[in-house]
Amino acid sequence: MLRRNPDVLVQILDDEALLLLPTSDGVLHLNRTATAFWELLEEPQPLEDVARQLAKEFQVPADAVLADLRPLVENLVQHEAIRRT
Amino acid sequence: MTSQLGVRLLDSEFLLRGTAGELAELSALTGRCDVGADAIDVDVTGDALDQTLALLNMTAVAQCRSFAVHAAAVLVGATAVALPAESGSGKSTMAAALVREGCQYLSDEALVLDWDTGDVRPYPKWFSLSPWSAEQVGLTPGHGAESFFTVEQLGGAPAGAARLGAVVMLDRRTGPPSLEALSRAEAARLLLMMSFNHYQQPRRAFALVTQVVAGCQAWRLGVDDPRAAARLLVERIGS
Repeated sequence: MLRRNPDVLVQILDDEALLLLPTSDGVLHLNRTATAFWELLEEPQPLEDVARQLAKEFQVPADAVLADLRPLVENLVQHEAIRRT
Repeated sequence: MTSQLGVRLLDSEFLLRGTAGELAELSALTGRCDVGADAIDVDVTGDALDQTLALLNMTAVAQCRSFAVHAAAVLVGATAVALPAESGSGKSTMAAALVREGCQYLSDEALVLDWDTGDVRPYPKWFSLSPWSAEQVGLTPGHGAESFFTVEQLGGAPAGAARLGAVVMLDRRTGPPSLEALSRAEAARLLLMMSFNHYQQPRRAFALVTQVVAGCQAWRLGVDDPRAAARLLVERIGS
């Protein structure tokens, strides 16, 4: 299960998210696809479920979306923007 | 014989002590004013001009009570334009080139935003230009690694307080100048990453920057010839 860190501050500008990270006070800029992923995590859910929803939205194979999401998830987990539970 | 010179830069006041000659050289760049009893006392006797100016600038930015970003800023028509970038990336040269194109001057060093209103506070300090940069904007450089000029020497004038209307990322590249759209999220990230004091109040800085940038244009400016790039920016933003 993936869930957002509630301490992250977020602003969306032109469909792209800017995240203020709570631990480092650094800033992360998400492109539109990554922002769509972030928005789907409004409710905690497994990565595979998010991938399926994005695949449907962008009309691409779920396996390809899943492969693309893995490095994004690692990056967000590393920056403590999301958590695995 | 020691003389005195009062100088105000942003929220800092300085009382400089030195020879009449040293202070005359400084005041031509900093101006002079009356200062209070809390002014920072600096003995500049025997110090090189560039060292003294660097000290004054660093202190003024460090003690600034507003949100400050490492950026040049000018007024293009009625639009305040910020060019955030690290040292050595051409901020001062672009600011000088933009003044040569008729823009009013806000700063070649810091974009300063009022924490409460988001308005741009002018910081129209002296220009610090390398010999190459000075030649690019039609000035005769001195003998040192940097030469110092006032905005008036560039034929321009300082601007008053303004609203930020555009953020421009400088992209040094060969060829003709180019202007491409930049996402506002990227522009906001750039301002935060280039900030001098975002770390003091990170959540407030984040809120301020995202609010201000939401009302801005955002561009990536390809720069080879600074004067040509300045003309392109003025044409696009000023129109």
